[in-house]
Amino acid sequence: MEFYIHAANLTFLVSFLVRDILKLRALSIVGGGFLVAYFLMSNPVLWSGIGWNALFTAINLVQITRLVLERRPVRLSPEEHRLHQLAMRALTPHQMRRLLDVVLFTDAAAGDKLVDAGVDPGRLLVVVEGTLDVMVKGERVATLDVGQFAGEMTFLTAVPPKADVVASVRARLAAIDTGKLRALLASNAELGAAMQGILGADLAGKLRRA
Amino acid sequence: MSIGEVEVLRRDGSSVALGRFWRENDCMVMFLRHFACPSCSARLTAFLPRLHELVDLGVGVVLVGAGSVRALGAFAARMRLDEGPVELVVSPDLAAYRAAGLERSRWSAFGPRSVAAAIALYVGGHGAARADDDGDVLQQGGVLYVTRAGEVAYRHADRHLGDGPDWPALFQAALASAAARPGVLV
Repeated sequence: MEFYIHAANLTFLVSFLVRDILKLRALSIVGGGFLVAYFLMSNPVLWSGIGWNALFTAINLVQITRLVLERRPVRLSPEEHRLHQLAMRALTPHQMRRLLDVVLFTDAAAGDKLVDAGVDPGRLLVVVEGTLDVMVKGERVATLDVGQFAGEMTFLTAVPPKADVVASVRARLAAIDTGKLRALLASNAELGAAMQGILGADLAGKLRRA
Repeated sequence: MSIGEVEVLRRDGSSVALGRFWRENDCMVMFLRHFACPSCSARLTAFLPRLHELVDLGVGVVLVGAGSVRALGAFAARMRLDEGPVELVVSPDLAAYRAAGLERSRWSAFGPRSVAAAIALYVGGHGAARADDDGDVLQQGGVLYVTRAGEVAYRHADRHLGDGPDWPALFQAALASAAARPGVLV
């Protein structure tokens, strides 16, 4: 029976020597298994020890699942990849994957009004294909090209837009629901910081051109 | 005296009103403790990778130290801030710190949270040997974000070593201020 105690502790010893947290957790489960075997063969059976090890194993399994999911390669569709390259290069592929949960790709025909002056659009728009015109009282004052945002002023300040945005040609857009985006960024600090950098770069470009 | 009226010293020893830095552009003012402070070193290490985001938005960045002009030069060289967009000034009489309402006490400098943070920071490689003119060890730091209109859009006053600003909130203030400028329409 002592074999199981030694096997468990040797496994724990090896787990403390590895630097990869995934391997450490896997080895902890194996070591815990040896301990459980020892507890089961004891007379009387040591149920309290088995219970604690079951809890540790459950926690390790949850964390292993999270680690494996985080390490899996991210696959983006060609359109998602294009959006990443055009406007979201500061995001890691995993961050991009999470952002895509609140992104809806949509088409706009030439002349479609996408943002009304004075009305919160409730979404950020990123131009994926085509161009958008920024119109004040019917006059074009700026053009938004691929990779540029519309709607971030309202997203950042809660002030309604001061201009209309109209598709100047047929356009493909990524629409990001601002309510869902706020919730997502509030729950993920790193993604939030990266998105701040992205929106800041877009704003800086608009200020330079103004 | 308001924070904008407080006179601070530049690296050449000349005097300038702190408000000069937000007369034309928004400005982030970071108050450091003494120049050997491990907490300030860690704060700068965390902040500097995002410095360009503020600079791109036209935001000025000013570091205020509590030591001498000489110590400021040594600190700038050690932190590689000799050249670049960051303005470096000192307020050796702590007038700027008082005007900003920042904490100065033995408890904030040597309380248990500060001691624990100092150990962790020194183990993490922050901090340096302290010189006599590096500044007041009891003085805590903080961060202000002041718009060009003179409005304090974000303020954080450190309560102990290791305490620090909420960076996302500070950058949000910078973005909101930039988005509210006349050139941004949607």
